[in-house]
Amino acid sequence: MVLLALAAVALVPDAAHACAVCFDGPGETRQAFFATTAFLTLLPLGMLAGAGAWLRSRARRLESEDVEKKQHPES
Amino acid sequence: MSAGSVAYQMEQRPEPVRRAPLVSSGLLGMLIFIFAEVMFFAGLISAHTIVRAQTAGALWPPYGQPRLPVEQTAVNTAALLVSGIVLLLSWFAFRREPSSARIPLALSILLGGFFVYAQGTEWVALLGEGLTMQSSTYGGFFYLIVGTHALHAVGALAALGWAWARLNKGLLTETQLATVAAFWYFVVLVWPVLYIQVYL
Amino acid sequence: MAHTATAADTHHDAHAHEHHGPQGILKYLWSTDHKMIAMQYLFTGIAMGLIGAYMAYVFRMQTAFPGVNVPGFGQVSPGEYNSLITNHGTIMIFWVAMPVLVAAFGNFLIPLMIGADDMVFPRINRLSYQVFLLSAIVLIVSFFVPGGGFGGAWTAYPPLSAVAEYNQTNLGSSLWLLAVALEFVAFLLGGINFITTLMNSRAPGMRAYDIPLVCWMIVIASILFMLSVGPLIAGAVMLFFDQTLGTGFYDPARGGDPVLWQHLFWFFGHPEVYVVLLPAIGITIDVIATFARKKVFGYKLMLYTTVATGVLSFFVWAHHQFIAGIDPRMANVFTITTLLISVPIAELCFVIIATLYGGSIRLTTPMLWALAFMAEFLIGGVTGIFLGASGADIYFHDTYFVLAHFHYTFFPIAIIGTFAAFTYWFPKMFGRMMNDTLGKIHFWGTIIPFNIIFIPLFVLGIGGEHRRIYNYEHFPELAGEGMFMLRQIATVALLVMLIFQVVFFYNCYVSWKKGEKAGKNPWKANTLEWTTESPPPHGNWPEGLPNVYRGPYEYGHPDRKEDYWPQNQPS
Ligand code: HEM
Ligand SMILES: [Cu+2]
Repeated sequence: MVLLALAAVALVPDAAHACAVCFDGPGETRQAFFATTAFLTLLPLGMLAGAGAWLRSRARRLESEDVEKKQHPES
Repeated sequence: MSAGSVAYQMEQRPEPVRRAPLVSSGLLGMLIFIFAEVMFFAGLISAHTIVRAQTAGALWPPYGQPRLPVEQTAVNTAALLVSGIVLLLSWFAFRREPSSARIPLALSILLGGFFVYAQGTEWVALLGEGLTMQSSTYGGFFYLIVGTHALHAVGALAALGWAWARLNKGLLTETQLATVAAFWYFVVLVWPVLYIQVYL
Repeated sequence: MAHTATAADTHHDAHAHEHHGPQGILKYLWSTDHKMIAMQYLFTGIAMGLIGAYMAYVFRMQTAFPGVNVPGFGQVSPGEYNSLITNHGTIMIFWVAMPVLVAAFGNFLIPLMIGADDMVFPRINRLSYQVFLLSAIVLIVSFFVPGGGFGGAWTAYPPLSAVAEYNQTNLGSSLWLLAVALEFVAFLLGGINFITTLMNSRAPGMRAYDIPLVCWMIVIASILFMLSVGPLIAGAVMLFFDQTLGTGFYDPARGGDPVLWQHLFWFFGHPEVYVVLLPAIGITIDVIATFARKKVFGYKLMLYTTVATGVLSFFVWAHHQFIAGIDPRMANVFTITTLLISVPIAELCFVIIATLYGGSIRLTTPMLWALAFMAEFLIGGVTGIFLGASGADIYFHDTYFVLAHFHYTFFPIAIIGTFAAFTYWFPKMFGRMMNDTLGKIHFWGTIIPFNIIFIPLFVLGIGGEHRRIYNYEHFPELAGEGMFMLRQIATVALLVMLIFQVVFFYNCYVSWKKGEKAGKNPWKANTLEWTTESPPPHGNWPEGLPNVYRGPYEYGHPDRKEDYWPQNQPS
């Protein structure tokens, strides 16, 4: 809830027209900055999450193989 | 373990043993390097997206600049993708019987070499048509992005060649092949993204 | 080369762990031993730090006493002034904080603390230092080329940095950029080593939660670096082409976008501040646990908090661009994330305070440094929150308030943290104790002037003093007597602080020569590096690598006679 409220506050404001720095290029550029900001930020986190999940599943698999080996020493 | 008095209740531990690494060091190092590389290309893609948006879509490519050879490059792209698949086959072959990986590995290198060569001829043609790094940001990004990818491809091919030479001497280990192959997969898989971004 | 190589070959089998390779100075440059590489990074970092300090001295003299004939430099021209502030910043961040905190201590501590005989890729490690050394040389050369060193600020915003007609340093700016790029390559190579070594070379029995926090911190910092540096390298290549080939990536007249550089630069720039912050926090925690004789309060909490900080650090970078004309909605999002990131930072502070609480504290020199880190960094963090509020930042941006803010963060990190680590591990590095009295004189002689330098700068910043101005006499509103007095106080304090560094070097020298022998474990600490000789021999534990039986912070266990319990003792 709090987060939602924060998000709402964050997304509502528009350019303050008294502010000298509240202007940038055409709308497409804004859009592009938005998109690449999201892209650049989420990509490394996604990769980390992926790597973490992969390592974790690998650890699980190795562990269960270990257990199997202990149960069937011949194999 | 939390702090406070409970912390002193040490749990019983098994005798220490040295465990095998989860991922072999060579492959892990390569993966970390690839992560950094992915971010590098992400930076290029972002830059390209932003500058392209600057023109509001209408002037891309700008007047007087040649159109990129989308169709011919599609063929090259296919060659590169096939090369990746063949490398995967050679990996399975290597796991079964190392020497049987020789032919698929060589084939993969040849296909990759074809890709680099074909892209090179494309560059020569485009330069002749007046597309240079200075002629426009369009040209600048084209040579920048495709060129850095080409450099990576050449480096990866050299590494694959090294692996092939070692394979012929019977010295190649599984970790080495996995490490080198991981880099080639990166080069192969990042290309379609760049292709869509730059050519289409 | 060929000659020395054969000389080494002839006694090849003499000793399995003996070091072989070129002799003489090359022996140092060509070593693959992690401790040697750590020393190389450390000494190069200190040397670069002296250069950076000299630059600060020169331009502070000019700021406080415009037009003065600076002893040891002469008159400062505007171009030189710009070049000095630019390269001061660049050096302190990329050639001091990074090599010392991450590379030197990472190289020295990680293998020793996790019980490994070396890094996983020793040759890549060596290459990393060599590239780093090359980058330092390129940077120094760039000061002396025709036109002088680059003067477009350490952030190198285009179009000033991209166009030679604007910056007037055609060659200097390209060499500067090249040096930075090489330096990144060096740390990429180093970071791969750190992460892989921590994953794969731990001593038998060492589980994830038995790793000393400083190792975790350095490795998490390396991961952040790895994931954030790519876009900046991409941007740097484009800037380099703009400079040398005449492309127009950042030139608005030709369809480029100058804000694009800021986008790519700060995507790296903010995570970068955490790259240097985390090792310093790790050092502080380790030192404090040892000298409070207490278990770290909430090891896992600390670790997870750090990870959270790392994740959040990717979400805040646009707070450097509030004034660059970014979308106000984006500014709001980044205000919120910036305020959010101070929560984990505050949490780290509370963890440290909770660790201190009820400990039997020994106020040794390293402990003083560690405590000072906390106190001073807090001021840096709190002022960061002011800046993070995008409304307030419209006023504060590019004033001395910002400058004082980041010096209150960077100085504790790069200088105080380094001194904490250096004085704490000096016995391990050189086998002898440092003189505690001299150490304390140096401590107070650094900390007090540090505050006297930067508190006036906060005041000046609130008064509207802009950064990067050659001569404030040209700005009547900023040239009042009171303002000049504050500037002069700061500069004089800087001189005092620099003079007190002589005590440090003198202390290093006498302690290294005649200090009391340290023995294996002078601080009675738990972690593995204290279980081998000081300094550790080649291979670290020639008689066999240690096993690990418990976590790193088991101090003051009630059932034990001694108040510490080394990690490698079975019971
Ligand atoms: C609680 C954490 C922090 C917050 C909320 C924070 C916030 C900010 C903000 C908003 C700015 C931009 C001010 C402006 O340019 O107008 C800034 C600048 C800066 N901060 Fe921080 N910061 C924090 C921690 C740090 C740390 C840990 C470091 C260094 C290790 C650091 C180094 C810097 C630097 C170098 C700049 C100025 C860069 C430049 O323009 O040259 N900050 N900080
Ligand atoms: Cu920041």
